[in-house]
Amino acid sequence: MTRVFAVARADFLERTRRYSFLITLLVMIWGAYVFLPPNHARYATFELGGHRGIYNSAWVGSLVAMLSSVFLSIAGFYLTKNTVERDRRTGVGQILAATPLGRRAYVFGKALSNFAVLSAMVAALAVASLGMQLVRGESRSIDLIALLSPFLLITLPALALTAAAAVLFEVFRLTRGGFGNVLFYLLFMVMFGVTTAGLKPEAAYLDPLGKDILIRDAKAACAVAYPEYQPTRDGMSVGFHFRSNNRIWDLKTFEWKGGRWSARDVAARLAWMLVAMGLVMIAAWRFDRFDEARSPGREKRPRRGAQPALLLANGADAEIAVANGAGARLTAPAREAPARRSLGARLLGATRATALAPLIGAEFALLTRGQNFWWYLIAAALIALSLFLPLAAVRMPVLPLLWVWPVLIWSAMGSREVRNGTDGLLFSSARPLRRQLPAAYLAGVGVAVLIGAGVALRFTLARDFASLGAWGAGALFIPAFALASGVWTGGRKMFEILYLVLWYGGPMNQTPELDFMGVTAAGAASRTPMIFLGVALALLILAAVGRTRQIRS
Amino acid sequence: MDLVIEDVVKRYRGDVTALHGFSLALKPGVLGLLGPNGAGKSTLMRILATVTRPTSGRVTWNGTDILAHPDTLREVLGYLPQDFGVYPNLSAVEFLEYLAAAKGVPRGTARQRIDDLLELVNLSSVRDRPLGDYSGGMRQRVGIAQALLNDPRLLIVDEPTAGLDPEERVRFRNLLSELSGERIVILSTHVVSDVEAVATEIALIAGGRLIQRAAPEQLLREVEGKVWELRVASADLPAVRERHLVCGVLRRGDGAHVRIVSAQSPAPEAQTLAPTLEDAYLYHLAAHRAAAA
Repeated sequence: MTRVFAVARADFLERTRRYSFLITLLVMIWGAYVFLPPNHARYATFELGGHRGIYNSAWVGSLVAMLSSVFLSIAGFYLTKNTVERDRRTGVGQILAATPLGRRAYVFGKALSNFAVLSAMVAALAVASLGMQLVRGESRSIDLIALLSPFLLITLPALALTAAAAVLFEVFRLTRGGFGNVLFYLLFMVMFGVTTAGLKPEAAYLDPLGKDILIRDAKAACAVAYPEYQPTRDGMSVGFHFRSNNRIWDLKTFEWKGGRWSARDVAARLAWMLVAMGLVMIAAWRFDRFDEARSPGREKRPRRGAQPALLLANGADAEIAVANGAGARLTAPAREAPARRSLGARLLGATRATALAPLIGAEFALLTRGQNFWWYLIAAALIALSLFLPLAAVRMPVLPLLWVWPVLIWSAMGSREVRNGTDGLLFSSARPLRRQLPAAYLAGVGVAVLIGAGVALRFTLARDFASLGAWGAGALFIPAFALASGVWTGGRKMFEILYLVLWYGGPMNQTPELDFMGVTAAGAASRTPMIFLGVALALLILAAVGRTRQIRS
Repeated sequence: MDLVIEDVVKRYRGDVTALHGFSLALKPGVLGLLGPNGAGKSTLMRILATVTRPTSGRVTWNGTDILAHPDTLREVLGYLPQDFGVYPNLSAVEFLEYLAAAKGVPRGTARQRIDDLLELVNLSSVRDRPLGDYSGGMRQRVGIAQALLNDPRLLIVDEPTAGLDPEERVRFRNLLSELSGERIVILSTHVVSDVEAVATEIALIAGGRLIQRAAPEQLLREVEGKVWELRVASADLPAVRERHLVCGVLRRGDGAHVRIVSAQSPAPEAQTLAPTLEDAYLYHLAAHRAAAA
């Protein structure tokens, strides 16, 4: 156990001492503010057929606990899914691998640290909720048990699952990177979307996020306060819900003293903690101890930094001689001298290239290289579908699928230079801002155009030029978004997450205002494409500003 | 105390073989591991450090198979990898406390040991500063300190003096010499002068094979009478390089003084020189390549 806590402690301190953690805590406090909108606000976060509880300790605690369970479950995954990777990347893992630290101690320590980081955020939210109850002023009576118990019983078990899932995903090579980010997002959407409402009350226990237990109890309380309210008929909503035409919410309130936690409720939530433990056990069992050879999948030669040549008194001479094999011919005649001289001559004759096309080609090759056979096969199948399916099916779902398939290619944009340590080389080359950055962007546009060409052709043949315009705006917007995210965050995660959220909320849900690719005819005919073009331009400027900063730093 | 490597093979994806049936038996002392890039040194070190497993073969520590029982070795192992990072927001003390716990060093012992080690690597004055503020050389010294946390019987250090200033380099060499009495130290480096200063034995590796293992004196004896100095005009240098194994060139007012390793005299006017370990290294490497060709 000492080792588990030592791993957790070091990791926790490392993460919580960053400015970003402080910012995260401030975001949590702001979260409590937005989770509790005043009456007559333009949005509601939890309403039951036009009703809500008054902001007393029980409702405030339950509402914030429920929303933090939902939002931190997904955001927390991406925030914490980097701890094993950091040890792998920095080489601390190699040092640890050479110690008697067991797989279980390491993995449990990391999961515990994830959980502690997320719990600290929940603690900030809980304290802020108390303040918000007083700010909203609908009830001045403070009931700490009613306020805090939902955080303990609803949020923390959900976050234990998130903490465990983050470690589990880091252990498997397949889910370690961008694919894992996408997969978790999809899993979460399923987990969030599947509701147990309408089923037996006990079915609420099947919701890992815990929200269904609170919803079940709140509905029952609402039905008591407003007999005309029928839980199965009148519905409810959790999340940020804006009414159409900018109308405000006018929710009727009732007093709710909080759920009475039955032993079964508590046991159900603790059971999810056990599930989390189970996930950590699986992670510990499959953890490779930083040895790629043991990692599920094929064995890979470890990546190493550039090795110095043998450092001799006159090292350069000796290294060249040996490297050219001269040493193997101690008395052999000079056969390679002309070749070496001509190389020197070629080097002297080298001129500076100014054409952008070869650079775009090189950036395109860098972006697309490394995908496996199946990636290309599925891309080809999607392109074929875009050519031959009826236009309605091409719009939805083929187009959104086509433009989510390369998400891991686009997410590499803007940060690849820093991640691979080639920034020093590239940023010191001629005009990196005017050549390399546009080339990288245009390569990303090339990917969008190439994979979406079938759809563009279909729009053209159908003379649907509004949709073609929206498609064009999408092809320009996506890489701009990827580039700006990569440049400013130095990583891929931000784009992967935000793009998926936008993709799901816009094209997949066919929301015209967020349809940045021309899936809906209404969206294509509206101002949406122009807005996204404007956003693309702003993002490109942002990327250029960020890159300028990188070059100068 | 012994470490025995028997017929170890390591094969990576793409049929790249890093080690071909490598065998070596070690007793207390400092073994300098020398070889060109890609020779298999780091793979061997990672296997001995139990970080990775060989494709086949056996490694035993005092008779215990470390592939089957890696913790037997890990408890007495100190390992400094070539590329390692730190947690930038932890202080040196916190980072070492963490690794001490990972190594199973009791807390009380660890505290005293950390104080001593920080003193030893000259970091006591900055012990509570975040590691993110350290220079490369300072971080390297933290790496050295962590490798010694558990008073290891087997110490494996990969490029340990990289980034150290000359004074710290000498300090570290002296430390290694002091430590070597009752432990096995494996030192992999590209800095021949480091090996020259501390190694009691040298193993030359190339192409994943052990090509020579000997005491430094023996290696030097083998190139005795094979190191020459030849004075040539600077314009003739390329031709000389093509014909001979050139270990160094000194440009003087009277022309270029070329240091050549050759079994025969490269020219009638060439004069023999006292060999260095660098000459011996290049000679053996060239001979190995000639044999392989």
